[in-house]
Order: sequence, then structure tokens, then C-alpha cells
Amino acid sequence: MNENTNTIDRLRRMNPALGRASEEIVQQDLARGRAAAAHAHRKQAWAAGGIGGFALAVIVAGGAILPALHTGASLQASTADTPQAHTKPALQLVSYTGTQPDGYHLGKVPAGFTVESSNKDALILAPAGATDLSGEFVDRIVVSQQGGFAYSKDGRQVTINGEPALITLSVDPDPATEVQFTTGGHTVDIQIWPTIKLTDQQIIDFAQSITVTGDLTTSAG
Amino acid sequence: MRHDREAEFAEFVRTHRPALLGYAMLLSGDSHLAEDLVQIALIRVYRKWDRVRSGTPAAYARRAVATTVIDHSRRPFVGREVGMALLPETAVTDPETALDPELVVALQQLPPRMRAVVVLRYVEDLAVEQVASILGCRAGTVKSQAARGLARLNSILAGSPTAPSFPLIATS
Repeated sequence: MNENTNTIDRLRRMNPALGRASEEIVQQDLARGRAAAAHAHRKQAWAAGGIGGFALAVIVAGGAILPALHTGASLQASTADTPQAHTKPALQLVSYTGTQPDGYHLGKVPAGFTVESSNKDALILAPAGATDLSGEFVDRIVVSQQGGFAYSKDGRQVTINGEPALITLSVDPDPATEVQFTTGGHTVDIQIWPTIKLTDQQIIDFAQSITVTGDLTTSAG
Repeated sequence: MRHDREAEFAEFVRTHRPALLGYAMLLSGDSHLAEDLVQIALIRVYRKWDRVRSGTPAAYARRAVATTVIDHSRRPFVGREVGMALLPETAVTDPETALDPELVVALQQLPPRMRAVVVLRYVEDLAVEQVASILGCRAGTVKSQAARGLARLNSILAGSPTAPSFPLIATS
């Protein structure tokens, strides 16, 4: 009990912040909010129809509203981190013929890819013969189950398994094309390292070929 | 009307941003990441401002920060983080900011949701029901997570060396 009291006292004495934000910071937050709101309006207009492919290009070009995470840089509207729809695939999807991983059934994989590891946290696909990077995800595809929280609301709307899904570019801490979708009541997250060039249709086909078969835990810290 | 809305949001940021940043720092253990997460949270607050302005925008913002931190920690690409041996520099805006270095390091060893419960319940001194509302869980969950979190902190602190002698770094 004394231990608890002491720890609670120490926690309560901590004062993580005092004062007020500077005017410069306030204006930057306002600008980011305005940019996000404008982006949402454009997306709604596109979703309502009648604007067509040009609007899609505008939305994609204006989509980079997330901060450049881990850089500490101020948020700027930029096309640099925007998910790009690949039109010329560098890879083909092929039927997966290897041993099925724990927790998932894979129907298709990018040609030359194999299951590197599979556990309750994540299924990792890597090029056959790839060097073990001990937890790094360079040149890899990571499939995991998520707790249902969508990290980003900005990206390209697609349909996977008859349900709306979003293809985004995550930038934290490494860039990756990411899509979350549902299958059999599970929310699945796929992260694709940017060197792996798949079209949106290939990403959709790959996602739709995945079935959750195991009683895995959701990805959690 | 738009001017009023913007002015209200700006004042909210002026008043609450430093606390949100400190909260995010305690939750994430990384000052740069905390800044990014607060930026994301404030974007969400701005977009929902018409709805939250008449309620409790500070609670909404705390929830946005907490869910962003927790979700960030779930992502496989960041799931292999190692525990900190040393306290990172802290992004704070005032030299009077008071953090307990040993406790900050110990907090980072708790799972994200448990850490959020402990920070909200004891650092922010919120009631169980308020914490439950912010984190979107039941009061019973808050109680159990707070109890387990304290026990884990006690265990960590009991096994850790004395508080590091280096000072917190305050950056403007």
C-alpha cells in the first residue's frame, strides 16, 4: 500500500506541461486543420460523383496531410508522401503453393515471395532467399490483425470483399502502402514496403485471397 | 461565424496544446513522436470542432491523442521498439515543467493502454469515469488497469537504479 501511495504521489507531482502555446504553433495547427477540412470536402465531392478522374488526381495529389512522422518537421501539404496508384506492375501475383502460415490462408502472393515468418503478431512475406533483417521490414509485406482503429482517413477508396477499404501511404516510421479491410469479421492490415510495386487492383486481389483461419490476437503493444 | 469558430479553436490550442504535448510525451516516450501525434489529434479536433466545442473539447483531444498513440504502437512497423535505457529529451514548452525522469522511463515499460490509464488517472488526476470516457472503455477496466499499472510501476521502480542525474532537456 505504501508503495502504491508513494508511486501515486510521484505521478501526481509530475507536471508535464505549463504555459500556453506560441502564436506560431497555434497558426500552424490552424493551417493543418484547414488543409484537412478542405481535403475532406474535396473527397466528399468526389465521392458524390460527377467529378471523375480529374478530381481523383486532385485528391491524391492533395492527400498528404499527415505529418512527416518522426521527422519533427512541420506539416505541409505535399505530394511527396502521397500514395500513388501504380499503373504498371513490376510484379505479378501468383497462386501461393507453399505451406500455409499459422492463422491465415494465402491464395495469392507476389511472384517470388514466400512466407518468412508467421506468429500471433504478424505474417511476414519476403522475397525468397531474402536476408534475415531481424525485425526490419525492408522489401517485405506485413499482414496483421488490427483492433479496428483506422489510423488514417485519407487515401484511395477501394472495395475489398464487398466492403469499403482505404489504400493509404503510412509514413511512420517508414513509408509503406497500407490497406485495412475486413474478412470474416476480422480487421486485417496489410503494409507493403514501397519497393514492392503492386497496382491497386493487385493489392485488392492479394487482400481478397487472404482468409483468417486462426484465433490470433489483434496487434497490440 | 467562421471567424468565431477559428478564434475559439485557436484559443483552445493556445491553452491546451502544452498539456496535450506533455500527455503525448508521457504516453509515447518520444518527444518528436509526441509532437506528430498531437498534430494529428488537433487535426481531428479541428474537423470535429463544431460538434465538440460545446461539450468537452479537452477530453475529446485527450482521447484523440490516446487513440493515436495506442494505434501507433500497434503498427507492426513500430512493434519492435526496444525499451529505453535513458530518458529521451522531452519536448516541453516551459522550463518549469516538472517530470520525474525515473518514472517517465518506467512508464514506457507499461503496455500503451495501461500507460494511458495510469497517466490519465494519476498524472492528470481524472476520475475513473472520466478516464473510461476518454479511452472508450468500462470503469471496471480502468480500475483494473490502474491497479495493475501501479503494481508494474512499483515492480519496475523497485528493480531500477536510482534516478538518473541528468536533467530534463527543455526545448522551446
